[in-house]
Amino acid sequence: MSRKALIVVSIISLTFSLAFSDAKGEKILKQVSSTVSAPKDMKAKLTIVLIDRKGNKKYRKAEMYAKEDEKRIIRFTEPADQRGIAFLSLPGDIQYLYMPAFKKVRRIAPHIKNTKFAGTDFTYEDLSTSKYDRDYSADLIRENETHWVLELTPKPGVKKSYSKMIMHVRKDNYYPDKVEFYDKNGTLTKVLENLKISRQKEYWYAEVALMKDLKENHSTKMILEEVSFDSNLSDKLFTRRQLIRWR
Amino acid sequence: MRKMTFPAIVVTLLFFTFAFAQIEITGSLETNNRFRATGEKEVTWNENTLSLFFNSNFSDRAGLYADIRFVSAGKSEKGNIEEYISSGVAYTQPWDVEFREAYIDIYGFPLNNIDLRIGKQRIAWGTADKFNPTDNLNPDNLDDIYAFGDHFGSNAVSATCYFGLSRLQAVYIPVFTPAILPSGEWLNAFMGSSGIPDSLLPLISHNIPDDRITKTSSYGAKFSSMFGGFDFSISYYKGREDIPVVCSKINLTQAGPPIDVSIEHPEKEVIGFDFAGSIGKLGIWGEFAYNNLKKVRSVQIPPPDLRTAFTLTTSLTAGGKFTKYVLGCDYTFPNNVYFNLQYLHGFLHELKKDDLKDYFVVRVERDFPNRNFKLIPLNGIISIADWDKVEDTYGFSIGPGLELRPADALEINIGLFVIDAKPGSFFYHARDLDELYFKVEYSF
Repeated sequence: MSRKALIVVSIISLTFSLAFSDAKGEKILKQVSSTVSAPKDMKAKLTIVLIDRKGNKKYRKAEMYAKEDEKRIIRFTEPADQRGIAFLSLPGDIQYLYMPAFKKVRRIAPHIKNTKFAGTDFTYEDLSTSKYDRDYSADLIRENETHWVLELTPKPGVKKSYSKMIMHVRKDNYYPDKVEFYDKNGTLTKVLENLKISRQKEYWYAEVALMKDLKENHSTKMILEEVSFDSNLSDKLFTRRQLIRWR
Repeated sequence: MRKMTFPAIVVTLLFFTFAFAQIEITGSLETNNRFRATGEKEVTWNENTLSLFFNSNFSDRAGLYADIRFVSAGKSEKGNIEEYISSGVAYTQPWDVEFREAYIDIYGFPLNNIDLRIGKQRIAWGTADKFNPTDNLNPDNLDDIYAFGDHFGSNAVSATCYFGLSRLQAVYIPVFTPAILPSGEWLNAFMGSSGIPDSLLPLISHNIPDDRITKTSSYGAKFSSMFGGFDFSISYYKGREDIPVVCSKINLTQAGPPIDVSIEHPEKEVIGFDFAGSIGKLGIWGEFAYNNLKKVRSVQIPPPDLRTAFTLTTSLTAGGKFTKYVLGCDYTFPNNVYFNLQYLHGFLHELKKDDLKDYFVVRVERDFPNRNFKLIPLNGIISIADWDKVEDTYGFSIGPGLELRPADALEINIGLFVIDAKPGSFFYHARDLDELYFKVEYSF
């Protein structure tokens, strides 16, 4: 083969490779979304461990309910000064916070969404539900025997706090076990590691997750207990009415 | 002793009842101290509070909640030796019990989409922060002026009907309860226009409405929904002004000060509108209250020999139709600096159109959640009484603060409030009351 022909073939192969790689990335992300969002609904008790740079730990407890892709409600039960704080995330990027001290349900403005929720390393945006394949485009950037590595960037018109995420997806179950978050400047700021991925019925879920804030050198471990799926949770649970009932 | 027995019995009964009813008992212990920053450095506030919260949703259809506080004022009473000897603990270590709230919830009754709340309850209306002109159902608690925005609950029946994203709340409060007023110079700040010397205060009667339903009851309704991405509500309240208004009859035919002076709570209607939402990432809110307050007048009767030359002089103390409003915005910068600004037209005690003044409430804070503290470089309120003479009518109470969280559920607040004002400003009477504060609260 002439040198010229070799170059042409190489370019064509590379173009094909890139094109099919992107398509493969989107396909994998769709599968990830299906896996993560597979249950119709979920309820769980949360134990949240805040770990500072010196290794000191603080504990939070909460209960969480989620339904479909975009309904989630979380209520803190411990410690005492945070008991009753509740967070409701609804479709359309609508979020509410109930603060018992003020006896009011407050709408959360967009500027709050990338701030830390109740001292954890999870932002309000992290805690609101998100359908990956709806909000992000995915490129397959590498793979090995056990993992695909995807680069996720927000789709045009979708406003997110992160410029990109690097997601490490297990090949055996399509569940991400590591996500790296990059800020608007392209700096790696946080890393989420799903330390224990478990299975109940046909559903996979992160039983233990660790979010590290690299800038603050602080981390939050979230442990799910008493997890149950498809309990036929009522839509009435995901309302302002429920926030007020919980007090 | 008798004073202590009743609350002791009530709390004991509550504990026993709640132990059987699987009711969660939580609470907090708080010490709140303030010191004058200038002059003799007086201790101006020393209050310790044990708060107990009783909470239960004992079934899917019902629940209860109670907020009971034991408040110990650090300062002893002042009196004569007889009171000192005979009053004992009540004299040297005065304390009080506050039933802030105590109510029962009935869910889905009488229809599935209606929740009833019966008993003493806080009904917080309005979207603004602390300064809520539509929040008229509960009496203001101005006892501690630095806890502005605090209210006591009212004995009430409240029904909220939910349909889709909308809800309609109706409230009935059988008995009127006046606001708790501040003391000292802050009382003069609120009641300053009365010009009543302290020596005359014991002679002033406090007229509260009699027990007839038409006189003492109040009610309101609020419809809330969402439109165009904004939460909004419209509301109506009919009741009485909880801040008293001075009504005086000055008889110039007699020597000496006027003696026919009373404070009253005129009837009022308030039509409210509020909204909350965002423009871009900026959080915005607004709250408007159109007041129709029954007019209260002061009358001067001239001496007999002048009656031919002068007629009775009357002046409007309060009342008429006027609108108070608040516009606010907040934003969190990427470095975790939070900024909150509100513009108020009409403060709590300004009760006629010509009295409404302008205020700016500002708060800037930076939270360091992982280092367990929050820095508050700016927190306070600026008043402008007359925009044509800003330099002669301004006033402010403003200062920095620090919030420390050394352990879970433990919060320490330290800070300073500097006050300065020109005549005509709300803060004028309190212009020398610069204070340092120190507050510790532990929740359990």
